[in-house]
Amino acid sequence: MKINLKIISASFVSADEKCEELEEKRLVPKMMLRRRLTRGAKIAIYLASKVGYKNERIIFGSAYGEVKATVDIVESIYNKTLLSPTAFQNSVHNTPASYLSILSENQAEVTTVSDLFNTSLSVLKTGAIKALRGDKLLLLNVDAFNFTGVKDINICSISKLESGVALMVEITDEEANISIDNQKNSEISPSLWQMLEIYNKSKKLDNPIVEVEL
Amino acid sequence: MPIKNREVYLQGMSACCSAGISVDEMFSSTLLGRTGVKKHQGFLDNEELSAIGKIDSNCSFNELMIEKVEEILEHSELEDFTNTFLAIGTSVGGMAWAEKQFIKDSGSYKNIKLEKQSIYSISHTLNQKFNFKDSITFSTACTSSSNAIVFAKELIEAGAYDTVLVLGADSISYTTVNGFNALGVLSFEISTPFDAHRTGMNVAEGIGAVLFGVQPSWIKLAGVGCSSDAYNITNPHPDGNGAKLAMKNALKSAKLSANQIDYINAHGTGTVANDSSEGKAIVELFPDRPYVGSTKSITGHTLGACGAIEVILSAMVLEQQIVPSNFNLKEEELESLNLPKNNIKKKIEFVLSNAFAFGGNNVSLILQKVKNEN
Repeated sequence: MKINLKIISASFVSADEKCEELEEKRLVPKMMLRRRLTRGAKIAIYLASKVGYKNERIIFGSAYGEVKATVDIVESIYNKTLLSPTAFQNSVHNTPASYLSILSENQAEVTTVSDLFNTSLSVLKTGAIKALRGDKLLLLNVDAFNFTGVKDINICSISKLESGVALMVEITDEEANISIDNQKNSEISPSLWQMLEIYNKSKKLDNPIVEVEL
Repeated sequence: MPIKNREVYLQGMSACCSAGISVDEMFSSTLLGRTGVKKHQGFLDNEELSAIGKIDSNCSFNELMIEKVEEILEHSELEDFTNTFLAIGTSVGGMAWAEKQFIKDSGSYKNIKLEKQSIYSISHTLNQKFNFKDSITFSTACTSSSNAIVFAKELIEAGAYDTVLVLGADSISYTTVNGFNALGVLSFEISTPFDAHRTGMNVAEGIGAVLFGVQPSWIKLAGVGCSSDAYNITNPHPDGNGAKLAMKNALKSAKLSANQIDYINAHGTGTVANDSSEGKAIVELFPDRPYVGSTKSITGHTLGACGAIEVILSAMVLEQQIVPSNFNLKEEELESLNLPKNNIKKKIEFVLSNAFAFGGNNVSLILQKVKNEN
């Protein structure tokens, strides 16, 4: 089954260690909420603001999830120190998308997928099926995994430890002008490759439409 | 491209949790009030006993997962899974393995393999063993496998697949036991959902596998509904606004009115916040007071697996036409909730099953008994 998605708007951000200029104070005026946000949540909120997100359904993807919170928990268990309740509540994979829905008071469906290096493709496939309902959807793919032990697990030597892509999409009957060719990018986590490829191609087109095969 | 709107039926199920290593055993435990939650030492730092639901088996969790999927295949009309989509729901993936490895390596990440540690680990294990056509893993904390079921319905309705296997699986980890303890919601006794004096939830492990397809059977997945609380990262909206919206959406999807629901399998974790919020939502949305029950005092809270496991229990309620009692319930907090304290034999056509999660992620599923299998 093939489903064509119109790319209404797209945004991308990445950094070697930490994405700066995420406009946190403007986007999250409440300090208490801002202080609780994870890196992934800050990137997700920023990207959503760049693609005109209002209250669309959200399909979020992350391969590694909330690495900082997970590491804090495992290390506190190992060191027998007090486990932070904030770290635990922020440790689930749907944390960034949940903070985005809370911030925007969006009661619509939010779902999260995670398939390691296929995560980006899973976001696209999930989005394609859900787009059949006819509404606009926010597809988000974020991975932020800068922590002290990252060198031990960063087997692909990815240089950008924080990155994210957002695509605002809707279903269309128009012919696709973007195919997913699985383009590689040695700097970015493979978990984002297909979404990044669509972002890059969409920037060169007036009416970008991607074909998603299920 | 129009949605085909094909009907979706339950075509097979298998399960394993602390309350039983088969669907029949698990449902019998529910009817007999035979809880799988027991006190265990070694999960909490201070060597305190924690009441948790551990699977009683000599097999590893991965072996049990494979066994449950094999069971589904054996009892289905499928020769293999080459044309079947696998939708997984898990909240912790390979966390238990990663914790053990980290501790074994004296606090080093060197031997942490992503395909074993990550959420993807379950997909990795099952795709190595079975030849699924494609797979996606959903990870929305305690609604993970419920969201996988929603996606299964969408895939089949759209005509993308004729069969989808949903597998909900979460194993016990130090992270979840200590994490819920840090949040102050871990009960040290067997949980008492909806009780006025409830003390919290019991973390548990479990596996639930459900095969959905277009071939008509005795149970139809009649409706699904999703929503977000948009309120707080851990606490549900106190008035149950998100829960109510998910249930409303499920009713709309099933083209039903609230008075057609015979039994609600509540999320009912046993925490003060969840049960109060969910209870209020049910009371407001269902003035005809259908039977309401939580099975978590029997199975424990199997986290990302609970959606699939409780759909299985709901299917058994429909098959056997018995509403299970609320085990361990002594004094209801909300008298307007119709919480049976004994098993009740009655005609049941529609069951609604709830699952709610961190971040205010809510999913309600409706099952329908379409015909008597016998």
